[in-house]
Formats: sequence, structure tokens, C-alpha cells
Amino acid sequence: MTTTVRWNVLGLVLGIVGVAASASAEPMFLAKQYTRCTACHYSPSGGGLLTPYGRLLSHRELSTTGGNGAAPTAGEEDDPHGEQAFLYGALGNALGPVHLGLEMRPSHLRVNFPGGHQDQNLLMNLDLIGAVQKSGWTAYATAGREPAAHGEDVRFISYEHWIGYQRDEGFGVRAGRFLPAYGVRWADHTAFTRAFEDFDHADQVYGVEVSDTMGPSLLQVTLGAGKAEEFREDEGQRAFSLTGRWQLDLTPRTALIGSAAYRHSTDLDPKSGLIGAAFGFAPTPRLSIWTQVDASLQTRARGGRSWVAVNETSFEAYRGLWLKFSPQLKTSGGVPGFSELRRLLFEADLLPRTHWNVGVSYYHDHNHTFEVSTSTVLAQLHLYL
Amino acid sequence: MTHNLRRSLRVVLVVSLSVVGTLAAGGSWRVGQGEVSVKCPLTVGGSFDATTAALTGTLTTSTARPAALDGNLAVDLRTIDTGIALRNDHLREKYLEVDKGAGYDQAVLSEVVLQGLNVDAPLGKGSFTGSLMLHGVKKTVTGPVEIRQGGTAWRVRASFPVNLPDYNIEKPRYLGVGVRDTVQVSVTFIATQS
Repeated sequence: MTTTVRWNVLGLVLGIVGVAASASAEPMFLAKQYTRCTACHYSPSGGGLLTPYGRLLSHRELSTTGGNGAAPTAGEEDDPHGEQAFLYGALGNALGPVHLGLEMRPSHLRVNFPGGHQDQNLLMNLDLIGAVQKSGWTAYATAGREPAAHGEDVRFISYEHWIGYQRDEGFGVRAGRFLPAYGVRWADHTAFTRAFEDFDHADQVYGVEVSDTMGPSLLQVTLGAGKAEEFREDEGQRAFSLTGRWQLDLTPRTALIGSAAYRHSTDLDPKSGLIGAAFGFAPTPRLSIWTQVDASLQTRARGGRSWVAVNETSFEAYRGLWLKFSPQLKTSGGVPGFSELRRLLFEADLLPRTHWNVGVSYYHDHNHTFEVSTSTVLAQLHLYL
Repeated sequence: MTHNLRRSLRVVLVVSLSVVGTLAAGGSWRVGQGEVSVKCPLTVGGSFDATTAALTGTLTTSTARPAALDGNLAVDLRTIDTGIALRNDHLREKYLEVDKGAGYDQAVLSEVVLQGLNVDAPLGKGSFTGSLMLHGVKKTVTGPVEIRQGGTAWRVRASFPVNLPDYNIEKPRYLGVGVRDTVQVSVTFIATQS
């Protein structure tokens, strides 16, 4: 194997191994008529702590065994109790207005590559997430461990911490550390439109986001002072960034998204830009189909000028059992020196009980330029207590 | 033009004339296949559809009022479906209060008056006003309507907004998520001569 090929194989492997994946919104819930992340999550860009409504939905409508579970009465504004609540309600009302979630994701990974394989047991996530919401204001923070990656030590990290205000009429603003809104936020942080476009697990920015809902439209604009991790580690990598996302809900089961992003140059990277479109529709209450296509408009250090396309088709085969198929492509259009990557992802997600998610994923990644393939099996127990 | 094509055109012409002729004579039309869809915008953004196919009724061209249609359209609110069981329960029992019986278990549209359409041959686009009985309250509603001919039947599509507080329906709120005050009702149905 040549050195170049080895590096490409390593890149594919590391892309899968990655590190912590934040809990994310599930675009597949478009099939349940949920086009917006904020129906179930505190964060306007999705992912992270579930609201009381999101916890209830996870219990009553998503888990295999929760269909007949108890629920607060209609009109209730209180938190869910029992199985739906933090630590299954063990703390009762002791937390007052503070909402907590504990997320952990023990996983096993097996990566097969030419000439060998790698097995790894890892705890992909261990994060405590908290939020307080009152009179339109939300304070939100995570605290946890970032698993060891590339020989580094495990360390403390707060992926998100921000304060936001949301008016009933639709206008909202937040400031702090968060992942900018762009395209579809796939649950899998290694999806090509996340991993290759700086929307990965630790790509949050310090910035300000302004959003507004106008009828069926949602506009989100983020002005960032730079990636949060670069504030901590490398001043020369800080760069002003601007991200915009516009979503139009054509029907409760059909959504169109346009996105654009600009990142100024750093000591290492030239300025870069992205523009993309996504379309999702759910022809039945058990099937959702999302497709996102992005174009990178500027030369970037990691992959050059490129086009990325991701499709995810999700089908609820049985209550709480979702099957996913996701073909993905990253291509530079044949520009010498840059690789064309193709991926086929098959996944089964079982939600047997509230906030228990057992997932098995099979990735087949192929570097078309160097004709190298890897396959990865990821088994994970995602606990969201 | 082939013989078969000429014959087909004659059939279409005869059918069309018979429809228009019947309407002009004050015919009675029964709602057959239909659907009511209510788009409910959420306070947190996005929306969901509540739907039912339980639409019945009869409309008759009025001899007394040229632009009016006698009769009514009724929707069985016990069958309305939002795709989520708990939401169905809340909608039907807590907010629409269908168990209260008459006046609550159905939504009834009556006293329909067409505007911008010739009631004798009401094909095309126009508007309508009508009286909607919902949650024990009767209010006037208005909106666009489109009527097309499909064989010997009418294909009708109409929509109108409903402001929930006008009908004394409590603001739907649950665990921080709610439905905004105004929902949009869309009605499609095929009316056949009875």
C-alpha cells in the first residue's frame, strides 16, 4: 500500500471512529409531521436535551413499549414524570425549573480495511445536559468528557453553552457556543455533509444566532467569531464565519431547506464557502426521505473544491424499529489530487423503551480515486436518561 | 377524426349538457368521497395536519336565492386524526369536547353562498361564505372555492380559516408546545347527483 493510500484509509477509519457524537435531532421524524427541531429540542438547530414535550413523545410515540404509558393530562404544563423524566423520575420535583438529561453511548466498533481490522470499545458520549426556561428565555449547557482521540487524553468539554430568547411571534436570538444551523442535522456526525463541512461533533462556534419564523418559513442566521475549540487551542485557526439557513415547510410532511456558509481564512486554511439545498418528504407516516446536496465554492485544506450529496431513507418497520439506508458521495469532479468518496450506510435503530436506543450500523466506504474500500460495523447503546 | 373519437366527443358533450341542465333545474347533490384537512400551526414552528374522511351532506341549488346552496356539509369530529394517538385524544376530548354530544361531535357548514360563480353552472374559481357550527358556536366563515367537473360529478375544493377562540375552544397547550389560534381548514369532495 502506498503512503497516500494509507493516509486515505486512515482518514476513512478516523472518520468513522471519530469521537463523541452529540445526541441529534432525527430528520426521520418528518414522517410524524415534525418539521422543526424545536418541537422536541431546546436547541433551535436541533440535537441535545429534549424538552418535556420531546421526552413525552419519546415515551408515548417512539418507544416500542410506551404506547400505553401514562401521560400528563391535556393542558398540563408540568414536566413528565416517571419513565419519561430525568433518571426515570428518581429525583421527583427536587430540581425545580431545571431540566436535566444524562447522555451516554457505550459502543463497539469494528473497522475492516485492506490488510487488517481494528476493534474498539468506546464510550462515545458521557454528558450531563441542563436547561432552564422561563418567560421565553432559555439557558442551556452541557458538561462531559471528550473521549481520547488520536492518542490524546480524555478531557472535560462543554460542547454547548448558550443563552437564548424566543418570542411567541417567532423571533429568536441566542448567544454562546453552539453548532450553527446548516442544512439537515443528521444524527450521524460522520455523515459527509457534517464531517466534511465543519459541522462535526466539536465544530461549534462562539457566536450569535438570529432566527425568525414567518408562517411556514424559518430563517436562521449565525454570526460566529470562530470555532469554539480554536479559541481554546489555536488562535491562528480562528476565523469569522457567517451561516444562513432557510426552511420552508411545504406541508407538515414536506420541507425544503436552503443553506449557505462562509468562513474567513485562517493561518492554515483559505477562506471557504458552502451553498446547499435539502429536500425532505414523508409519503407515509412510516417513511421519510431526505436528500441534501452541497457545493463547496472555495479551495479548502481538507478535500479541495467539492460537491457532497447525502440521502437518508428511513422506514419504521415496526413501532420503535427504524431501518435506514443512506448513500453518500463526496467528489471533487475529477480534480487531480483530491479523492472521490462513496459510502453506503445501512442502519437499524431500535427504541425498546423510553430513551433507550440500540443501534447497529454498517458502513461501506469506498475511495474511488485510490480504489480502496473499508467496512465498519458500529453497535451502540444510546442511553438518554 | 375517427369514428370512435367523434362518438367519444358526443358522449362527453351529452354528459356535460346533462350536468349543466340538471344544475339549472335546481338539482340536489350528495357529497360522496371527501376529505377534510385542518392545518394546525404549532407555537414552536412547523405544523401538523388533522384529517378525516368522515364528510357527509347534501347541497341543493336554491330557487329562492340564486347564489345560495341549501343543505349542509357535516364532519364527524370523533374520527379526526392527527397521526399521534395522544394528540388525537386531547384534540377530541379536551379541546373539541366531542363527548358533549349534539353541536360538539360534528362540525356543520350550512347556508353556503357562492360568489363569483354562476350557480347554474358553477365551474371555475370563486369564493363562498357559510355558517360553521363548531363546538356549540355558529359563526360565518369565508374562503376561496374551486369547482371542476369530473364526469357527471363536481370536484369541489374549498378552504377557510377558523379562529379557535371565536368558538370558545380553549388554547391547545401541552408541555410547552401549543397550536396557534388560527387553523386553516381545507375541504375537498366529489358531489354526485342524488
